[in-house]
Amino acid sequence: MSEPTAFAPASPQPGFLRLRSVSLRFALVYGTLFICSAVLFLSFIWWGTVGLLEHRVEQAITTDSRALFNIWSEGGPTGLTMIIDDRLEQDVDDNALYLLVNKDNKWVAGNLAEWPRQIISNDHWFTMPVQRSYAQDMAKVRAYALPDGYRLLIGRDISGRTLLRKIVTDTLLWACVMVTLLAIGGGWLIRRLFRHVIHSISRTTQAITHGDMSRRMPVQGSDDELDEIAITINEMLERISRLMDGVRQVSNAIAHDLRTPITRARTQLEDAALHAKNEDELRAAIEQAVGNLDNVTSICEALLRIAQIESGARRSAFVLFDLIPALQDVCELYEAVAEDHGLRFVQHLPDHLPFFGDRAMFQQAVANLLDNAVKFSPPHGIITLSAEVLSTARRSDGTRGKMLSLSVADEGIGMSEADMARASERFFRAEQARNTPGSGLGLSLVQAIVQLHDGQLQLASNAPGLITRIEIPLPDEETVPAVQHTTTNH
Amino acid sequence: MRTVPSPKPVVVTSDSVAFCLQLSRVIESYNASALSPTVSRLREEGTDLCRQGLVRPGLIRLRRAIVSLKRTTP
Repeated sequence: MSEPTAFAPASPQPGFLRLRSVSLRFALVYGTLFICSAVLFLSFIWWGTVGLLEHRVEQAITTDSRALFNIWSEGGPTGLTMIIDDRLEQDVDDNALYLLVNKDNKWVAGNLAEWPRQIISNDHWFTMPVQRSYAQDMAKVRAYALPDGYRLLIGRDISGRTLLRKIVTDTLLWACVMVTLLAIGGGWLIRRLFRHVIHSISRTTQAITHGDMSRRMPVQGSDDELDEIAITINEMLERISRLMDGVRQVSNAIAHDLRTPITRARTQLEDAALHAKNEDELRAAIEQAVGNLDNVTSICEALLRIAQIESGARRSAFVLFDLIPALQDVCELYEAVAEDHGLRFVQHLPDHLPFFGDRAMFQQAVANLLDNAVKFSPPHGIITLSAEVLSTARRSDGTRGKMLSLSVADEGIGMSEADMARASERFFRAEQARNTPGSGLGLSLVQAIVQLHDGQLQLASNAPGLITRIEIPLPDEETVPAVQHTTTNH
Repeated sequence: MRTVPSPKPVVVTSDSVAFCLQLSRVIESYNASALSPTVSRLREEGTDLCRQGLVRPGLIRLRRAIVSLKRTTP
């Protein structure tokens, strides 16, 4: 049998650098991008200065060579010699280099003492050292072949440009060093910030993993994205806590409320088995037990129904219909029930009320409210069902539009403020209602149905009695597809 | 572009007192009376500097004098 796997703690291991650290990778990516961008930018500067200077030298030599070729074609070696002398005499920049040699490689004209031995091919750019009177400089030259074995070397002293190039190159290299240092510093800062955020989340989630659901992310109050994340996580944790509390409470309630009828049924059956004197007594005990077990089944069905409604799956059955006939169907039933209990049932309903939702489900919600009203009303009490359209009400999503306000008011025992706050919880039963039959799921079902219709359930005191009000946004004409229009009463 | 690994740099012959004097003679070959004061001054300064061993500044002055002469002389 394999050993159970031990989970390693999720906390970050101590140490300055961890190669698997997300924050380090983030910092490295930041640093690399920063350096790449800077190198690219500096490269553009380098090519824009040094590259331009070199290009200009090459352009000057090429232009010069074309002019000298023309001179050669017109005046031959003599004409070319004169022009070379002329150019050297007027070379104010003191950077022109010329050399004309014959087929025997003998000097004919120019200011270079001899043909450089290394330059054996024509039409290529060369950089070579030249000896000036004051120093050794670098020159850029190009050799050209002329008719009759003559060869021409044209060049420029590029010492000034070389110096400028060195200055620019050095400056850019230093800039690269500075950029690298900035990238490292920036990366370190980013990594630290990232680690701070990650560690904060990690610490909180670890505490929660170990059972401390009270821990929350620290909010700095700077209203930035980090605070936004912290607030969102905290809201998520709040919701998880509420859900866990709800699940715990429902589990306890289910256990408690199911145990009572099951225990009662068991006791009845046991008592009948031990003490029943005849078949009638035995049959009566079995029927009572069946009734208790039916109660368990109805609780389970109600729970399943609430769960189904809360899942939102029933929303696909929504249609546009007239709510008034649907309410009148329910009223017909409860008029008779109210009469049986000696109650007066009053209705304030408009002639028509277009409504978008699930007809049967909404009837169920209203029936539950009326059922409660009948159950808790004293004899000769009045139950009032009202429905009206609030034309410019503010909806829960902040928009303004038509709202349905449906209320059921009774003159019964009512509820305290604390009980009203908990009335829609599953299995909740107010202290005064302990002796009244019921499972404590009626208002939970109403709440689920109202929420499915994007509405709100409100309870208020009727002094005496209770007013239960449902507020549901009514459809705007343009939001409901025409095909869903129906006014049929089922 | 190729960089020539030359152990022996080629000598630039225009960096010499002889070339200085050659440029001075070129200026002299023009009609002396036609020389403007600026050209005369540049020639004298250039020749003096070359004789003092300051070849480069001397050459620059002599060349400026020649450029000026070429511009003004048809």
